[in-house]
Amino acid sequence: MNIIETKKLTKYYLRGKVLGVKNLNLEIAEGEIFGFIGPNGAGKSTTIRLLLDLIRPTSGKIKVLGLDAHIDTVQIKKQIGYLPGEIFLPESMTGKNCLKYYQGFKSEIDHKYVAGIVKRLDLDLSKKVGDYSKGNKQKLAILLAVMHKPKLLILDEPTSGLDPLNQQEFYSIILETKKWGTTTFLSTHILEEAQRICDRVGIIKDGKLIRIENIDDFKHKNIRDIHIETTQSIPLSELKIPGVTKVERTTSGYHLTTTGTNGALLKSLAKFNIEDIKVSEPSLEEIFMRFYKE
Amino acid sequence: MLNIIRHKIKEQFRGVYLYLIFLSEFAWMYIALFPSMQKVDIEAMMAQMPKEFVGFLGEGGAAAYNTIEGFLSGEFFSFFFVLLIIFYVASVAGSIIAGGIEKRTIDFDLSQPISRTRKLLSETAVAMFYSFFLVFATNILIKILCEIYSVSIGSKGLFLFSIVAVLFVWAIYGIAIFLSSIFKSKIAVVGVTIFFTLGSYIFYALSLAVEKIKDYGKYSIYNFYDPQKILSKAEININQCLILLAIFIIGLLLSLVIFNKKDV
Repeated sequence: MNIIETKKLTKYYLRGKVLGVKNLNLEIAEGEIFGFIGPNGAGKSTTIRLLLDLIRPTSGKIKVLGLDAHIDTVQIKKQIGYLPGEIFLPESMTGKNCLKYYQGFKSEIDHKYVAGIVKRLDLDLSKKVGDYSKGNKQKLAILLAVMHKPKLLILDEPTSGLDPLNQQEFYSIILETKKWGTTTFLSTHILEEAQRICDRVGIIKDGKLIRIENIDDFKHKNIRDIHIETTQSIPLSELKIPGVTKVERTTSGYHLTTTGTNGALLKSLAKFNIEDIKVSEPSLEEIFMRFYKE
Repeated sequence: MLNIIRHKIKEQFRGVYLYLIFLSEFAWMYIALFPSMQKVDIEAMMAQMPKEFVGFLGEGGAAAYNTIEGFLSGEFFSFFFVLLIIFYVASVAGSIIAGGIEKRTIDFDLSQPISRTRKLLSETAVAMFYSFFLVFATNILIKILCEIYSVSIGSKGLFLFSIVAVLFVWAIYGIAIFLSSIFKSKIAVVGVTIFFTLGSYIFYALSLAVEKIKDYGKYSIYNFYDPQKILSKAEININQCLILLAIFIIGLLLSLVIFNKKDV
């Protein structure tokens, strides 16, 4: 059974003036971790809000856990864990009371599991939510999303605000939920995050789903920006090897854009006097321009 | 549903407690002032005032100030008392839908397994409970204070007035929750509700004072809320109570329909 299924899902705002998403067809299987990748304003949050029945589609159909997202919304939400993009929890409550309040909506809570997550995220539940840092609010929201071991996790930009250590912990929590069959729908604009935990990714831009790819195909692209610092002049023939898609001369050396593995390039560069190499991930916009320009 | 009710009762307790202190202090001030007011020849004082101003005082005119019922009605119940409680219910109504959307707190609440109808009804139940509490608690305190200052006030009239005051506040809540379902900001809901209440009060008072618009006073919601009449005669008009209840129910139903269809 598909856990999420949308058919020709379309949402316009302001009486048709602003496009949210258009003709979105998604099929997400049980146990899958699906990454929804796109720049800001691409339609990721609109899709999530449609799945949660917070907004209603202009046209098209949405099924979540085999049920109608609007008619059966309460039934669906019993089995959903949601992490919003921006966390707004009752500020006057302590973390403990907040946890207790939201537990009141769920029927089954594994308290041992909850205690384990609290420990792993190093979360102090005695403090008031209003006194939490952004990262701690994010941790509490993660706890609230996973506490009832939901069948479906919907995560909107889940690691924003988390430090690298807690990001790692978060990834391992999500990967663990997969073991008991939880499906995860995760929106992100961080490619590395998607590559790390997702099985498949959907690329969305300007409200339209451009492509769905298996993570291996996606990883294979391994798009990188490489800045080579050197005073030496390198012949273009040594740089324009398979996998290098762009070469630019800069004031301090060269700027290359590559896809796939970079072994051949490193071998070629080894012959020259290189002072430094900086490797970074290009912006999503750049990646879209290069691979998904449709 | 009980989960939300419990949480909201706890969350609003401190605010409601402060409202009650504020209301009690004002009531105390007026009751303590009343014995010395009786020594003043109010009618002679009012005779110096413009005719229109005296008309503002309604049916009993200046003479009504000679009784605690008339004095409290004119100085406290007609305006300040009800406006303060309306400010509370308008704030609550504004927070439920418009404020929730504005601050985006509603997203997480609606991602929980609870329908929009249940969420709205649960929070409405809390607003109804606390407005009932504020009205009755203030009036019980008034009765106690009157005993302390040896001022005689009719218990039946005070009880009947409390019922009408609760219905009046609920009717305004009905209007506020309807506004909350169509507006996008809590401040707009509170502002329009207060403006409506103030406007109704001024219009009703003017209709009592100005002969030309005398017949139009019945179109003000204040026509259904006359503390002086209820307190002095110790009787209520059931039809007027039903109209207030109907305003509350219609406002609530409309807000439920709109909220259930609304993109949040």
